[in-house]
Amino acid sequence: MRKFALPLAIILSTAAAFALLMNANDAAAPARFESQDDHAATHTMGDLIVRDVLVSTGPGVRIDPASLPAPGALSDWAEIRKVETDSNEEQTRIRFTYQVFYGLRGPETAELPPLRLRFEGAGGAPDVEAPALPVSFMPLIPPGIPDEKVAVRPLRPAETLPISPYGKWLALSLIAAGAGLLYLLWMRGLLPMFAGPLPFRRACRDLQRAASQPSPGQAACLILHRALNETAGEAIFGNGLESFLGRHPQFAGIRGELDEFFALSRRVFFAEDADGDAYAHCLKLARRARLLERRPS
Amino acid sequence: MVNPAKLRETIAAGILILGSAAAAYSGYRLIGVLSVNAAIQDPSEASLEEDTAPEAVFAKALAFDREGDYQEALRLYHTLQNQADPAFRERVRYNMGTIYLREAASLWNARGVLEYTRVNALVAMAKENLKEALRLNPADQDARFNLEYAFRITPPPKEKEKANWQGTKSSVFSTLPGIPGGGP
Repeated sequence: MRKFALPLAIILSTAAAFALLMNANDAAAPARFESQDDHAATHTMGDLIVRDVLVSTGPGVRIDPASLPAPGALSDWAEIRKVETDSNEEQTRIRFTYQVFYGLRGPETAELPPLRLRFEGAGGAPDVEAPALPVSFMPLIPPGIPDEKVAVRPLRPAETLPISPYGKWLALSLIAAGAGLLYLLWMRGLLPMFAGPLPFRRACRDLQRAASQPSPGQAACLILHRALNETAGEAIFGNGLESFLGRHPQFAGIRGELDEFFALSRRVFFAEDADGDAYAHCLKLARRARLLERRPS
Repeated sequence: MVNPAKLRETIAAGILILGSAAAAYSGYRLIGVLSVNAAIQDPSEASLEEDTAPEAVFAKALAFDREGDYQEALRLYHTLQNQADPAFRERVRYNMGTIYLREAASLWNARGVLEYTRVNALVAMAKENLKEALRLNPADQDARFNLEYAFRITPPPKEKEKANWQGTKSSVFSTLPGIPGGGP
């Protein structure tokens, strides 16, 4: 019995070591080819063909990107356009997009070449080979037509450039500019069709008409008083000028001329003073006020 | 304290200035587009400059081809093949490929393999350009059709010429240098 002990121990230890190795290999879970799409569809010249290759992998095993074919010519009739990978713990899906330029006169079958993909992981993993993929082709030109009867498709015409964006932009910008202009004109009383001119603008016009009257100075003072009253919404006298300017600050720049105007008006109406240069003074003041006045909000 | 009337006036003035500037720019671009379109409609009158719009050059190339000067048309298309717009590049490549194919087809159908070299070169150029058109737009049915036709009229590979040497065995030996004096 003793003489069998040593060989038995060797056999048992070898078996144990082998079992351990097998377990280690299982733990590494090498990558294994699972499936790829079978292309039942028939393709024609220039088609894009999508080939999905599914590889099952163990944890920690991932594809070596260097083993993926680069986009470009694959053979004289197939090109790789795109390669995408999508991996999780259990499997890796690799999507190849090909474009085929297969010249033929009748239905034919060709094969996209097999793919050898390398995986890497903690325990190492063997290369995975996806078998060649047969693809059916059929011609676009009916097989019975002789070459000299085939009409080449015509050239592409030149296309006129679209004017729509620029026409639309032009119309919109003109509308915006026109709206801004109309508002400014309306504010300055330059649109008589909308609620008439502003008081000083009307005063300027009336003053020009009054120039031919026998005593234009008095008439001019009356016109200017009317314009001031209309602007203020009440009768304005010399002592109310400050409150008027407080409510209409745009006229603050002609405070001095307005003061002079009230003094002039007193002289013309109450001091029996001659008209003198009253008309000219009123006209000048009305013109300056016209430039400053705005339509009330 | 900002006067509201003054603020409104400033805004209105800003809108007026911006609107005028935008109108001027749009009008300028519109005039440019209209002049390019006029050149496209009547390319025979258009002159080509450094800054001629690509679409106008394209129309001019078409006009040259219609007049029978396909080589000048191809020269113009060559100047357009690096344009940024892929759809435009696709049309350029399609037209180039189709012109090469048309010339190859007329030679092939008229002379066959007698014009092997020229047909082969033209078909190769047609294939290259039509493939590029399809790379840019795989859905282009006309490019697919024309490319398939290009493959159909691709001349078969030329057989390697047989050696034309007519010599005989004795003439071979006559060319070998002998030993002077008839040595062993």
